[in-house]
Amino acid sequence: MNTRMVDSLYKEADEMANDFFVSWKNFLTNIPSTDSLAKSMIEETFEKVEPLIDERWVIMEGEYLYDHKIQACWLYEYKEDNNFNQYLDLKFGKRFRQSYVDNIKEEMKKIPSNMSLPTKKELVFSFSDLEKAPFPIETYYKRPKSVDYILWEDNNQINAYCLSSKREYSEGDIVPLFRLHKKSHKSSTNREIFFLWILNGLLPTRLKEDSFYKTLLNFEYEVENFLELKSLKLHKAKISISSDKLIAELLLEDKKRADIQEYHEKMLLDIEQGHWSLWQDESTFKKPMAFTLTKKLVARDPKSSIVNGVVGIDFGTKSTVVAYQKETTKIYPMRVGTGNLAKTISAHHYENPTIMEFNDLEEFVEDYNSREGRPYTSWENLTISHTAFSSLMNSKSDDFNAYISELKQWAGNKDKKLKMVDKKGYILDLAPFIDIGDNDINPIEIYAYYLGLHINNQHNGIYMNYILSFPVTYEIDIRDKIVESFRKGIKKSLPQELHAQRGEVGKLSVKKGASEPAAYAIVALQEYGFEPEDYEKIFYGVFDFGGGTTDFDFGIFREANGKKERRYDYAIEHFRAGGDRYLGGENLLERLAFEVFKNNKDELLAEKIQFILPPECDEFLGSEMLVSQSREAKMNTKIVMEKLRPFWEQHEDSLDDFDKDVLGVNLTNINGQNLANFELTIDKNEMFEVLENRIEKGVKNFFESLKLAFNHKDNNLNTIDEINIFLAGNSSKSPLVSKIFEREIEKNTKELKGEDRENEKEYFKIFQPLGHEDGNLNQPTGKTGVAFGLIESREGGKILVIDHNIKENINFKYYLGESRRKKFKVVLDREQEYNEWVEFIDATQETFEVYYSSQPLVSTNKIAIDDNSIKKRILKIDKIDDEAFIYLRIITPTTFEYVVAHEDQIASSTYLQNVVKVTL
Amino acid sequence: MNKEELLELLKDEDIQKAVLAIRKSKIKKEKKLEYSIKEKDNEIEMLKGLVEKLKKCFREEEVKSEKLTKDIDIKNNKLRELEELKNRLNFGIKDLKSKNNKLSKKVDFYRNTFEKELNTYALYEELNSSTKSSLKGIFKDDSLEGFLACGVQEKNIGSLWEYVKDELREEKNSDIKSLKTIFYFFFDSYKRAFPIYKVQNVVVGDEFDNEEHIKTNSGSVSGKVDEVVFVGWVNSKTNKIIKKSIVRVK
Repeated sequence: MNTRMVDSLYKEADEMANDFFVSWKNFLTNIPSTDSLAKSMIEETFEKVEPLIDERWVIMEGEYLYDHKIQACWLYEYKEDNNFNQYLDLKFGKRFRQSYVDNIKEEMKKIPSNMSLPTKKELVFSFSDLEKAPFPIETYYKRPKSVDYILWEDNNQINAYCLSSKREYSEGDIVPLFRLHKKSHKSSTNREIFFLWILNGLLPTRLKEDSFYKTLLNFEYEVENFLELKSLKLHKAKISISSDKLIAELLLEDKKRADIQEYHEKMLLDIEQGHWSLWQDESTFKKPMAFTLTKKLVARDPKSSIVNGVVGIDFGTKSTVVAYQKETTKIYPMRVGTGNLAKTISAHHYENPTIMEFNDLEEFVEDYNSREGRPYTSWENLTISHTAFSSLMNSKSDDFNAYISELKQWAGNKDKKLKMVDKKGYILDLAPFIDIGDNDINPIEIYAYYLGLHINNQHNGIYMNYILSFPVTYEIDIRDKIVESFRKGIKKSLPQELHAQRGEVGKLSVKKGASEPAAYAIVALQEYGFEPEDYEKIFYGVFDFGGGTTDFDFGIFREANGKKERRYDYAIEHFRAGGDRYLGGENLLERLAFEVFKNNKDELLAEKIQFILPPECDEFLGSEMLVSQSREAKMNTKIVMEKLRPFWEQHEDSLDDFDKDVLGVNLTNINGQNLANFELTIDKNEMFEVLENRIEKGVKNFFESLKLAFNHKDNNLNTIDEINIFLAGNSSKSPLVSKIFEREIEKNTKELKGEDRENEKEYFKIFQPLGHEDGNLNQPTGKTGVAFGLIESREGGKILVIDHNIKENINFKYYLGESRRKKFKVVLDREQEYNEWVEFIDATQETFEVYYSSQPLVSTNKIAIDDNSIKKRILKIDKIDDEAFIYLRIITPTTFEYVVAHEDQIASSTYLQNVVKVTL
Repeated sequence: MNKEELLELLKDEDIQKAVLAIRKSKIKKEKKLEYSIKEKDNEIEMLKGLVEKLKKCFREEEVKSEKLTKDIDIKNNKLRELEELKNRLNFGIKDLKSKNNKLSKKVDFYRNTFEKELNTYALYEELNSSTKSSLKGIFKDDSLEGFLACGVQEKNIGSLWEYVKDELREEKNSDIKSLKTIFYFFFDSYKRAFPIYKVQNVVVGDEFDNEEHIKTNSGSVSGKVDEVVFVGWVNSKTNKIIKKSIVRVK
């Protein structure tokens, strides 16, 4: 049975107690807080209580009569007059002479211990000039009819007072009084009075049937300093809650959690639908507390919402793409964090910015840790994706550090730390991702949790199978940690009611899929109609030019063959991957902005406007005053990047702006002053040159990698007839990329196949990024193709992925070499086996230099040593020996070791000094 | 009676006396006449004198009159000239009034039309020195004309938006409100020139989407748009988002 009608709701007693505790505190201080059952119960009850307070006299159950004028209760009892009419009498016991103190005290023992005699002030205040009261009034003297002479006490001195004559008297009646607060306390607010009533167990007779009031009375409160709530305990009791209130809360649950469009009311009333949160099993609660619903609602077993499908997640530097497949073979992209799912879909909705906004991290973490599944976290405290991105673009400079947009870079770099200051001032100082502990705050897990909330909800259903892609350069341990973080985050997004069902959540599977460019290749090869048969091999290369990096992948696509591949239609073997670390659309924009700033340095200096130094850009004369990492510098760079974006992305409607040689932008100087329309001189041709040079370098790197890839032991470039190059990533859409590729293809074809190939077919075939020219937004694109490919390459799918690139670990990330005649000469290339010593240089001097670069172009040994992609390390040895050599060996994709040894002893591990480790 | 008789008679004393008396009376009368004549003569003389005086006066008056006449002529001429001038001036005034009207309309037009420009420029001028110095790459000329000319350039619109976005992100610039206003002002002009571009339609309550929005640093990472902090723009033809709106999410 997938749904059922329920008439009660269980909550953990401790959770509820805490909820009530916090709600009472917020109620008393009048602090606005997020809606909760407890809050609405308190607020709603107060709405009924306040008019009573304003009426002054409130008859309470248990013979207390509250007078708001003195914020205290008189004791009363009902009596009958001669006409058998009931009236309220305030007198207690016999009349005493004021001097009979012992007798009075003896009589007082009969009244509740919290009551005492009034002070004269209280007496006069409460009982003089009465116009209206729930007891009979003596109309002439305007006092209570039943009492006139009353005993009062001050400093343990008992006196008597006559209300009619307004004089002291020698004897009087006992009229006991119970004060809500000490005599010295100033009057309390209505909210405090309400709390004091609850605290003192006072129940207004008019509310004696009110279930909320009685529920609140039923708790055990502990206070200090009079009104400061210290603890709150719930007692098991039958408490009823308004189903309408609950419906409103349940429908908005995910809206509050992650700005997911609210559910339709029908969900809770239609037996075919139902809500997960109502599917409860009392036995799974530690301390269940039952709430009776005023009308029955429909619960749905979350297990029945599990979709037999798979989700592919392309966790990108700039944006994350999610694609899913249900029971059929169709794959669809999914929108994350766009709020209103009913609005018109646009292509960019599927590219979800990889960014997080931290408003109140501490509160988020507290909520996040409060339960296993779908905790009550608030979107107000932490947002991601489109919301966070929009917020960043419009955030004040003080909040600039409350965003993390370098999630992927942080994850991929073993040395990169992360610092964030949320909008409440909480500082998050994180170690490199790989060193993050299980109990540390892990932004990747939180990001995955939010993706999970958007994937798994009552609009979409629940997905239990996930595949993640990775850049080819990510090391295995980093990939594993990302997978684990995603698994934890997604698990957290599954409904608590699924967690409560034994064994269900354990079925969640998050796996590593094909690398990003390989996943794209799978989709592109099929979309472009490649269907290899028999032993036909389709050679391909992918140039995935994204926002942050460019990844290469080289391989073959063939028909699956042999017994072992029987279950597949096709196999894709990728045997070399690589990339250009800093070639990304965003990096290019950053570089372009830097060049523009540099060309306007004098004007910027005069106005004290700073900017950042992007990777691969060199400092220049006077740059120390202009280049900074300050938030203003970051903001200025970001603003100019956005202004230049139409130029880079070739937006037709804005290109004319760049003909005017001047670009007006609003920049901020070091004092935080915003300078409107600051005019920067630009040179369109120069900007084109900057872009072209850098892309050309990337394309050259691609061809060098391609040559290395296809001159493999099993293949030879000369024996290959055709190589298909697939352009991918949003940045590949730039016309510049195609232009440069055409140029390089011509050059490389000549180089490889000779000059005279006019009549022969093309050797390199180029394929533009996939797009949706036909307007079908469900088709894969150059950007969303990776997520689609992940699903195609899933376990159980029809395409076998064989990765020759990963053995124990990915290849070493750099080329190590030396400077020879001002050129980089490779000594250790990326194919080098791990842990094998390679002779580097003689050990005749204490100091030696190791140059390194990740660019495949350096493998040509023709790249100038001052190229900004080449860096160096100055290293020292302890032992100088004319006969010995310095040896290097690689240990991990980013570390190598060196040692000094004699040529004949290195194999036997006999060294002249200790091994030294170097991390790049 | 004849003469002798008459002479005889004249010998008569009485007659003589009477004649004498007549003579005397006559003489007296004559004398009186004489005197009267004399007086008259005197009077005549006086009158003559007076006449002379009058004549003189008259002459003088005549001279004066002539002079006055001349003056009047002059004045009349002047008056005519003045009339002409007045006419001309009236015409001028009318013309000026009409010009003034036109100008007033123009001023109103400019005021109405370019008020934003002036206000925005004022905002720019009030930016603190550090912000202004940050923007010198956009506003290379500090004058109003320079400010307007630089601000509407397509490239500068984008840079200004980016700058405001950056400053919003850093949450430190006290000029952010003015900067947004300045941007919206220029974007408004930009839209007029390129109507294809329009402000991105984002409203509170929209579902936050990374592809359409940029979230502020404060707030949730997912949920609904709680506040549109700074709008972006889109190409309305292709619906392409040129700049994503900045939003606070709850």
